[in-house]
Amino acid sequence: MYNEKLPDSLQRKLDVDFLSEKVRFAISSDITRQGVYGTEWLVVTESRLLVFAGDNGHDVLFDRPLKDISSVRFVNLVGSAALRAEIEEKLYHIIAYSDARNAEFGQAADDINNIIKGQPLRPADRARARKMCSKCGRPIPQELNKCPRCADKRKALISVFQFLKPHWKYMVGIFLTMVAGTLLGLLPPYMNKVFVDKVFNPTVPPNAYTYLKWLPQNILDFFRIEPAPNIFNYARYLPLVVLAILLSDTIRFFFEGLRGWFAGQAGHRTTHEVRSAVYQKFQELSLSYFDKHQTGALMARVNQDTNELRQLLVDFLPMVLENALMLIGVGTVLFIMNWKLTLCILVPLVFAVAFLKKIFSKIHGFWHNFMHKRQRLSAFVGDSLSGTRVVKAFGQESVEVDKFDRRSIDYRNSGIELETRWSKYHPTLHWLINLGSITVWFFGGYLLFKGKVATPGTIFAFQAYLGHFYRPVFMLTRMLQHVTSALTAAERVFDIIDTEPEIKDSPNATAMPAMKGSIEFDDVSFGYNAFDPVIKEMSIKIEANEMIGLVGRSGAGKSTFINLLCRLYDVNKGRILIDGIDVRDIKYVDLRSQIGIVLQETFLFSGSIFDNIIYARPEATVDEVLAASKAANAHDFILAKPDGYDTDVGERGNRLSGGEKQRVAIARAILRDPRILILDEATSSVDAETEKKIQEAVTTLTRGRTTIAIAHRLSTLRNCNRLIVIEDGRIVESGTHEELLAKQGVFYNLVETQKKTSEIIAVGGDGPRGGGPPGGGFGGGGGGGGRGRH
Amino acid sequence: MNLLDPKKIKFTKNPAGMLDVEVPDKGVVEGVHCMQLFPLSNPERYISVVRPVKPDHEEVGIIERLADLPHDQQKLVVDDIKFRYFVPEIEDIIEVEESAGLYEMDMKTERGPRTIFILNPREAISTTDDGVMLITDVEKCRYKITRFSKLSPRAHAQFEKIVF
Repeated sequence: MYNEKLPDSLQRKLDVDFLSEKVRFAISSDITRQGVYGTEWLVVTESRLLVFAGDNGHDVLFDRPLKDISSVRFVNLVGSAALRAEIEEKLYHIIAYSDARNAEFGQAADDINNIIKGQPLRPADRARARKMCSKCGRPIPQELNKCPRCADKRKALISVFQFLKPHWKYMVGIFLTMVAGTLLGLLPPYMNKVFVDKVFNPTVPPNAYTYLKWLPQNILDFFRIEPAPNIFNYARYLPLVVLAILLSDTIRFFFEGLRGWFAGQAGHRTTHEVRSAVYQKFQELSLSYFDKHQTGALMARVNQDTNELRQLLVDFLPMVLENALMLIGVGTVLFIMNWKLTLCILVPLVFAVAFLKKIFSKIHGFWHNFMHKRQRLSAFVGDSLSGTRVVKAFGQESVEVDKFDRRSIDYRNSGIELETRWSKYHPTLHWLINLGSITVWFFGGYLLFKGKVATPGTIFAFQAYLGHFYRPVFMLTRMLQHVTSALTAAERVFDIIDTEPEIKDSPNATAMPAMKGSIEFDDVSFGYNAFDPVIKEMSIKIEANEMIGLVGRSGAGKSTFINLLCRLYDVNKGRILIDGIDVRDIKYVDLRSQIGIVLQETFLFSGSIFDNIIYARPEATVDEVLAASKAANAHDFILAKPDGYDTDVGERGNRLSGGEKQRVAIARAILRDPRILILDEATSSVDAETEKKIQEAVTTLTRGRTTIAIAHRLSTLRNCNRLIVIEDGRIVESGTHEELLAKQGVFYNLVETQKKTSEIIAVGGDGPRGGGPPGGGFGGGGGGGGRGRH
Repeated sequence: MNLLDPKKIKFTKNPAGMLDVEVPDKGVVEGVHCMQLFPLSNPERYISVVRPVKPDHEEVGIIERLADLPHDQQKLVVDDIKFRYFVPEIEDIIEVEESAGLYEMDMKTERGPRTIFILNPREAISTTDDGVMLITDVEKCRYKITRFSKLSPRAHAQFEKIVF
């Protein structure tokens, strides 16, 4: 049971006004009954259900003895929900709360109902309560499972390095080439000093090689050229300086190339491995995980976030390291050359960095807005062009042009806004950067005149080093945000990899390589949100090889019944047994391999027809595939295709008609040879002739296996051994078609309603499971053949 | 369209706190709800009066213009809508702070002050063709801004931290 601590003032009121009442649990809401934000307290005592106002007066807003309440109902509203008490067949409002509190109040409603019925309360953690960060107190996003502010970023970095570990050789290569490249990069700017001081300065004695005396003598001798009298001594130093720059640049660029290659190898290999790990995890995760996460967001995890991870590894981290090394190297050289001048150039740098930090977040936002508008426009164009037939059929060309113009203008404006902002910031930034250069000229010149700078070459070298010093600072400032963002993306990726599937084999799961196919639902309750059950205390036994028809209105719980049987979700209460064993104790692979399913919305993967049929059993032979195809009445229509079994079905099977797709799906199910077969509206939304072919195929398919069929057209369930009628998550009727009609209950009403509202398409023939008047059935004896092109 | 004549219908609140409506030819229909057919684009027109009958709703009729109802009747309908449709209108944005990709937005809404958290603005914020901005926070609660241009300069400046 979920329980919150009452405020002292309310506890005192309870002690005074409700002397004998012992509080069983209490919970606070975040909306008042006036529909505004505020607090109300739901308090359940031994005998009463109470609601108090949240302010200090704690007015009693609801007070009823529990014995007067038949049940407490959960009412889902828009953005909020409410609990209502049923008292003498009337509903009374108890308390309202926002969607953020759904889980806790759903659980509270369940607990109150159990108290009313005298049943034991269930554990507190059965519903996913609102999670708050224990460090900062902020809500934890459902999709992250941890507070993004307080999460340890090092964890993501450690995970990244674990994936990098097998590629350590490339990492060492990156480091060595980076260090070498940075050291070599320090040389060319220094050559400015040499150039000015030694090549152009005639005051220096011609034989002044002192600062190069560390070079081997033979190299010095090689470049020793006697200068002509009274001219600059360039002849002596020029080749040496030029060669030094040339060599250092050549080797540096070579190392840069090599570093890029190492980084590419390490980055792409690691990203591939991370991406594969994410995709593999997607295959392992339970369906409930996909219910909680939007497909688009998950696709973004695989594509965008792994791409950000790649950028982090290939671009950002090497760039950060390289720039940090360069900054340290250049800073050291500058300090050695002249520490006073170095301090001077730091002044404009501080302003430039502060300005950059300020504008970067702004520009970043405008850039995102620009990209968003571009995506919106392209999504519109894609949508509109794919619906061209509809646009033309309704003569809405001008409307579409208007819509396009609106989006295009938005896109244009966002571009103009971005450029306007950038044109404002860019010159200011460059002006601040240039201040550094001006500082060097001014203070450098000043120090030179004062004799505190040894040579003019030092000032030229400072100018050359300036870019090498400023660039890493700017780069690191900007990189901080990129690295944080990439690390957050990496974190999201590793969150998926670390997620434990909700449905997995229990430690004592038993193998069931050959199931017989008997099914039992034993007091099963289930809801996609545990507080809002879809299946309620359902019990039913289905014998092996029995054919069962599930009947009920949309939303009654038929598909949920199937989802539970396939163990796509685990029950909240009760158990489902197959051959007497709880499905949670059957090895997952055995369970899945022996359940086949044909859905109304057939999903085919891109690829050939053959690929789609053999998908059910990749080890099947060609003969087996052809036999399954013939049994499914699919062979004939496949023959009519120019590329036969190699016909590409297109994206999601779009190049096949509905009936063709359905028969390929049936062939797939036949090839699977499951012990338990599920037909979920398998014959709806096709024309009568196609349905007849499908019925024939289905008849073949259902022989000798337990079959559970859901059909919109009730007449098609005539041949089932038994029909089970579900209403509001409960089994309300069970029996044969005739028995239920004779009973004149829910099923009879459904049939009558269907008769009145739509024409029941009759499908001829009696099926093998028993005949019946015209009106179809899964059997369908006659007919067959014919080209199935629709 | 089953339009209700605003002069000929009468809403009352029953002892259980629900709305009853008296409609010509139908008498008193107990326990009705009022639902906006266009809650975002046209919240004050086309209000459907329904009786909740499982699995769907049974429509009693539609009020074309909320303003056509007498004042006391309007209040009953507005209160019912307010109770049922909880997507607060943002009236001012006091402050926005970002850390590790999580935006904390301190704001004033028509339903009172609120601090919300937004994780991924590109997914969390959408704009309808009518220019209504819908914001979904990390707890999947929704908020709307009907006219962004009407918000204060401060709100604009703060919101720029998220989307612009």
